[in-house]
Amino acid sequence: MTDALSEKVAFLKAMDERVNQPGVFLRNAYVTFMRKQIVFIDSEGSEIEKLITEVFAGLEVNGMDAQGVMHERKFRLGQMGKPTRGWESIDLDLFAANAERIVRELNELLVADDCPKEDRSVILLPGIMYLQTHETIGHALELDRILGYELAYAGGSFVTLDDFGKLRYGSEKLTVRADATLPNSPGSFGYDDDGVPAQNVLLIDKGILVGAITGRQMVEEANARAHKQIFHGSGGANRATAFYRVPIERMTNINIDPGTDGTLDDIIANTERGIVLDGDRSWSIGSNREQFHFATEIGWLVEDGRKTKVVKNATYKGFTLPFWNSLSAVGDESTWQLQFVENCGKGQPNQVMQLGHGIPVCRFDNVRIGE
Amino acid sequence: MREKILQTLRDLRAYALSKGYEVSIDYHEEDSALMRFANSAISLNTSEHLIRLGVTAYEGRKRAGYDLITDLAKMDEMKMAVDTAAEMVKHAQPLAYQPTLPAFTDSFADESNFDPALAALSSEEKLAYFNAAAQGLESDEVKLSGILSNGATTLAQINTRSEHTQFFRFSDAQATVVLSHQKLKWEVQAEQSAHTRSALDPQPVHRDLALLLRLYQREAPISLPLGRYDIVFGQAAIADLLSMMQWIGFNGGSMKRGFSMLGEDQVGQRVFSEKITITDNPERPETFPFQRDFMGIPRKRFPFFEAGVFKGFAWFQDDADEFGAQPTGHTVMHKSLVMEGGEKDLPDLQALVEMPRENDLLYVPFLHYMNIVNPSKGLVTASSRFGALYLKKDGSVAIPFNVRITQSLLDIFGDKVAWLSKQTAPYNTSMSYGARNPTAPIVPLFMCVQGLEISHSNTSY
Repeated sequence: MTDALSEKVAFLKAMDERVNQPGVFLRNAYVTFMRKQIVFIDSEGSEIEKLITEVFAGLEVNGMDAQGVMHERKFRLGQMGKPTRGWESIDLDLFAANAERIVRELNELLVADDCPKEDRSVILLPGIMYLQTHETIGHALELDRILGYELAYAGGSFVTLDDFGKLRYGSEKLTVRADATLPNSPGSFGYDDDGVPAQNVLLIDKGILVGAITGRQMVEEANARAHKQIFHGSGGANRATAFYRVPIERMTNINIDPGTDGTLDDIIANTERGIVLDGDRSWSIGSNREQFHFATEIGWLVEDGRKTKVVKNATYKGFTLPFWNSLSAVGDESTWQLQFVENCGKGQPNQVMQLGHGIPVCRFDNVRIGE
Repeated sequence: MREKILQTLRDLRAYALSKGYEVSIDYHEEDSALMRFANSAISLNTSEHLIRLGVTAYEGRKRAGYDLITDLAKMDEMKMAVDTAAEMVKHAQPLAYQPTLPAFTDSFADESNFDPALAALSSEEKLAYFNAAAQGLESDEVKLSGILSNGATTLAQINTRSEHTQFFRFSDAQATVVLSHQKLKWEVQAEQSAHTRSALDPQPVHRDLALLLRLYQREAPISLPLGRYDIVFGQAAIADLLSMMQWIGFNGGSMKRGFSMLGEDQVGQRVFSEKITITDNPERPETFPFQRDFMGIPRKRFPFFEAGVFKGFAWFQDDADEFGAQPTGHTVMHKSLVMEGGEKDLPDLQALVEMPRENDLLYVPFLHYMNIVNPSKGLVTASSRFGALYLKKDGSVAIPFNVRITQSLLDIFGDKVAWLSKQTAPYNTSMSYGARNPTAPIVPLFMCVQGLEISHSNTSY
């Protein structure tokens, strides 16, 4: 972050030039830098100092179709899983290649047909899969939410204390971790803001709910309420947005393990009637995280194992548990990407936090699209 | 205190002028307190006193800003902020337009909406409010959640164009009281906004909560089949829809950037129901009004919709500069939106429940997690929450599991509007992600819209 401001401005100018092309009505290139100096001292003897650097960057292009409807395509740093932080993580070639791609895809969108309204298999690319994970696994498994501490604002969770070890959250292909030890991700931070070391916590094991996103206070309360030890100590997930707000349970890096269903092309080839979806456009979740509606930037229909055409205004919706239980394919390591989240919000007073999601391509069956 | 703040700004201005800078300086001070309840206990009782200084430097068509949290005693730090902004602007790219730095023609101060008793609400007073609001309603199964947030906001501005200043001071309070069933996971809620101490009254909150609790404990829950319903939106839902409308409706900059459901050719045309009149009215103190905007423009009543006719866009100064429009005095932290009531005499929720009805009505008091699916079409989606009721035409009441509504604002406020309650009230939409910014549009207590589709229906709470 001590690199010359002129160098950073030059990068943005170069990216702006790249996306300033026919079809692009509005364009945005940004880089956000954060440096957090956190000093934590407690009466138990902890004395922790952290210096955390974050960089978030992206490109966004918007264009208007013949009906006057605006469409968008985005590319964000972190999508290609570059495991580094700071200004050095800005890869000019990476951005340039993706600049070309999102402009091309935007122009395809502008002349595309609307997404049909029907049931299909949805193949979610990391650009939307991260948000599906974030909203319907991450938030649902924050222990303070499960215990009712967010009911006045962000909502509750359909998960109860009785569900741990029992609830079939998803198909056997689903294994999820809250991994705050993943190098160079905004969901990794050394120690949380209770002084607890960052950990890799198993949340869902082959579809069965086994863990939650936890901090010191809530695990005590949860175990007391359940009259048994569900949680063996804090999961090290309490963080505060700033010195003037209290630490609360925040997602770390909520990751889905890569699977064994091959590459994206393999998954498509094995899909009879589906749609590939990418890019978050809007998201809305039920108050207990029990149902959802997502609008995506772009869709590609899949018929008999082949991508056929681009569709616009692609949406999908569902109920959380049936949806995750319809998980029928999980891509391998080649499909796994680390996506950064710059501004997850919860709490009262409100707090914003940075985190990550490492996710592969996933396919879900019999999902309602287009509404 | 006002004079100390303004003198600090004058000193910073003098510093900037001595360096040859062209800057605007924005001061925001908040004294905020929040008591939060969860599981029928106080889960958090916190207060914050924060001073934020924003410095924006200008150089021709270039502009750059630097913000920090500081203190009035830290003049060196504040001067550093001025220097930093001035250094940053050298590297900024020129805008495609000339941004406006106003020359205030006189100094202006407004503390008419500051009630010290409200700003200084004690913990005991807050606890007493909650106890009264929830009296007799909690049990082993039904737990209390909520917040009472109160505080004071002080804003001041100066820039190098003139020695004049602007100063604003508000006090505000926002109460949210939630009762939820531990096992069944239903929730009911009542809320209140206050601009004076006397406006904070737990009795109406208790009344509505008691009614909802009685209904939720007594009546059978149902899962509504998908399809079209006549929906009565409560004031929380109406206020949220109105908030969305600010961004994808009558915001001039959004329109020019392709993110609005309204076009310039629709000014003067009827786009909503004749029952819909929405204005920006800074004469309503319940809305925490600004009497001048941040460009020094005196604010007055500004119609957005009159009897459904679209009257014009709001233009922030920067958008007006970019697109060559006339600014409309809306360069403020929040507007003072007022949606007029209608003909139906419904002073409270009890009256709605007891109202004779020819059709079944789905009462949706609150829309949770509203988001914009397609701004060009005004299409939004959200779920019901906090006390929905299914009011059948035979007079009975059922408790619907939450539903999802995905509709265009053009439809919701269009010719399907059947009636509005005569009674209106402020609804507090304030958030605390950033600097304190009390916001409360005034909206009807109830708005009935016919034939809206529910696209998703829960099969449990």
